[in-house]
This record gives sequence, C-alpha cells and structure tokens, in this order.
Amino acid sequence: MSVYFVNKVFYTIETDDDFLLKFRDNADEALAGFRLSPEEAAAIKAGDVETLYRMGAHPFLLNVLARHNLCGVNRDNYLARIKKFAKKGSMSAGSRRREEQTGG
Amino acid sequence: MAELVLGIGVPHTPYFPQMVEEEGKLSRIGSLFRQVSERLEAAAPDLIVFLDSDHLVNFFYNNMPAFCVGLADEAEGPHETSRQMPWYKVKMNQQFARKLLRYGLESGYDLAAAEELRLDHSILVPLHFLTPRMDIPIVPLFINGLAHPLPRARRCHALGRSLRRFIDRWPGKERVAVVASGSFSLEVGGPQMGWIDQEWMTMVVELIRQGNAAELVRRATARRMLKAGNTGGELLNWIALLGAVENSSPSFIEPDLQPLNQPRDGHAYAVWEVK
Repeated sequence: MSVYFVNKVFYTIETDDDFLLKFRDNADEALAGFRLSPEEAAAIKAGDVETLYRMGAHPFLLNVLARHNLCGVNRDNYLARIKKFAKKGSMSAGSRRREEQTGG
Repeated sequence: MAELVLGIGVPHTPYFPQMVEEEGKLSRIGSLFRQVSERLEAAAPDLIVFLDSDHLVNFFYNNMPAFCVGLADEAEGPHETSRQMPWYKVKMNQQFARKLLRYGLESGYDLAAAEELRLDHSILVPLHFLTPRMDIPIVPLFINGLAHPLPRARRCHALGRSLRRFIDRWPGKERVAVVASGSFSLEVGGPQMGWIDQEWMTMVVELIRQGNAAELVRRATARRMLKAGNTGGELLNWIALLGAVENSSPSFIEPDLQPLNQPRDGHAYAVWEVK
C-alpha cells in the first residue's frame, strides 16, 4: 500500500466540512471509501501519530488530527509524539523516507 | 504598456490575522505588515501576481503541478476546515492569466492551468493585511514548494525572469505588483517544530539583501531547504521574485526578530520599489 490514501484521508478532512463531520460521527464509515490497508485504517482510527509519520504521511496533513482534535490527538500530545523523531540540525528519519519515496 | 512597480515578500502564518486582531495594529506582526502595505498603497498597483505554494488544499498528490497558473475570474477561501480568519472572495484577471499561460508555454515553461481554484491561507493571509478591501485583482502563479519532489531553484528563478518579460510586454496599462509568499525556515506539524535554522535564515536574508540570486540559487537545493523545515521550499517563491525584480536589492528586508535578535519564525518581510 502506498501512503497516498492515508494522506488523502487527512486532505479530505482539511478541505471538506461535510467529510469532517462524517469522520467525527463515524470514522469507520467515513474511511470505507479509501483504499487503506488494515494497518493504515487502524493507525488512523487510533490516532497513532508515530506510526502514521513512519509510514510517510505529510506532516502538514497528519497535523489535521491535532488541529481538529480527532482520534484522541490534540495539539499537546501531537507535539510530544512527533518530537520523538527530532534530530536537531539534520534531516529527520521521516523526512528522509518521504524524500526517498518521492525521489526528492 | 504594463509596468512592474513593486515586489513584495511576506510570510502567511494562518493565525496572524486573529493575533493582530487581538494584539492590535501596532503589535510586532501588525507593524511589519503595515510597513509593507504602506508601500503597496503608495505604489497603487492594479494587478497582483502571486507567487505561492499551494498548501495541499487546491492540489493534491493525485494531480500535483510543479507550476500552475490560476485562470479563474474569482476564487474564495481559505478552504481549510481549520481556518482561523475571515472568508474572502478575490477577483482575478483571467485575461492576463491566459496570456501568461500561453507566453510561458511558448517560451519553454510547461505551466499547468487551473480554471477553478480553492484559495488557502498562503494567499489570503497576505491579502488580508495588504489589500483588506480585496479590491485589486490577482493572478496566482503556483510553485510547488511543499510536496516533494520540488522544481529546481534555478528553474524557478528563470520563471520569475520570464514573468517579468511578460509583464514588460503586456499591452495593458496595469501597474503590477508581484508578491512572493512564504517562509525560509519553519516546520509545520513535523519533528522540528519550534526549531529555526538560524544559519540558513541569516544567509538567505543576506543574499536577498545583496540581490545575489546566483549564490542563493546554487545553495537552495531541495535537501537544504527541507533541512531548514518542511516549509523551507517556499523560498522558491522568493527566488522567482528575485528573477522578476532582476536580482535588484530590496528597499528593505526585515527578518522577524525578537528582542534578543533571535529569528522567531524564520520569516522575513521585504519590498522592492521597482524604478
């Protein structure tokens, strides 16, 4: 599976008010329209920021979980979890993977 | 003939409109934008070309252009569901945009085109401060600075030069301003959040101050810009602007400084008064 559909879920949350409501109301139903692996769907529903970041989700998009308080993620716990990947002054593992995936 | 009268570089942090609303127009950010908007008012442009990186709102990975001209008559936004600012409708100059698209294609720039746009905060935050009445039509020229792989800095600079040639040849009488929107060092949603690459920030500001586009282009590889934060590629908009102002030095460039002279946001505010 590509991380494409994971990103697409977050993109849709951030650009479609109706989908945001639907996702809040019933995440299973909202996710049914996306071709996600069971691991990807589980990580989204659990708000598993670390796993989603490792999978290569774009931080701009992953961050919508915190911005909208979805799946147990809020600004404070998001920051604490994403900071685990920080490596000051050099490229983080996540950015490297994203770069490799896209040939950047 | 049309005339380039002003170049502008500004950031677009989504919460700035609300922050300035709360802290007042004399607050630090309010004053920085005021310095720029005063120059804009004095230059009285009747068209603004926007060099901007879409924030995965208008474009997505299903269809991701390196360069794209907006061809609509008007557009609205910001379309983010997490928006923290007023909703605006903005007029666009479709005639100018269509000719720019054609000029680009004929001179070797394979521009994409979009007849319907969903504007995000990266255009609307600057407009909120610079033209709050939304009375000057815009033409967006999108440069992919956020969804890797990115176009090369050299190519963006050349595109800016080509934009300038187009403005100089445009038979209309418009007074044109070109606005570059973006940061030099800032991480959004990623592990480096809160960290600013001061070394990069200082060097970029100095090279822009000198109008040293050749050196900036040489250094601004995708990898180096990403190291400064995941919005680092927005520098490409400023590099294109340097092309449009023919590598001249800005009338002023002001890094966003805290009292201890530490860059706070990896942002800068700059104006080129084109003679």
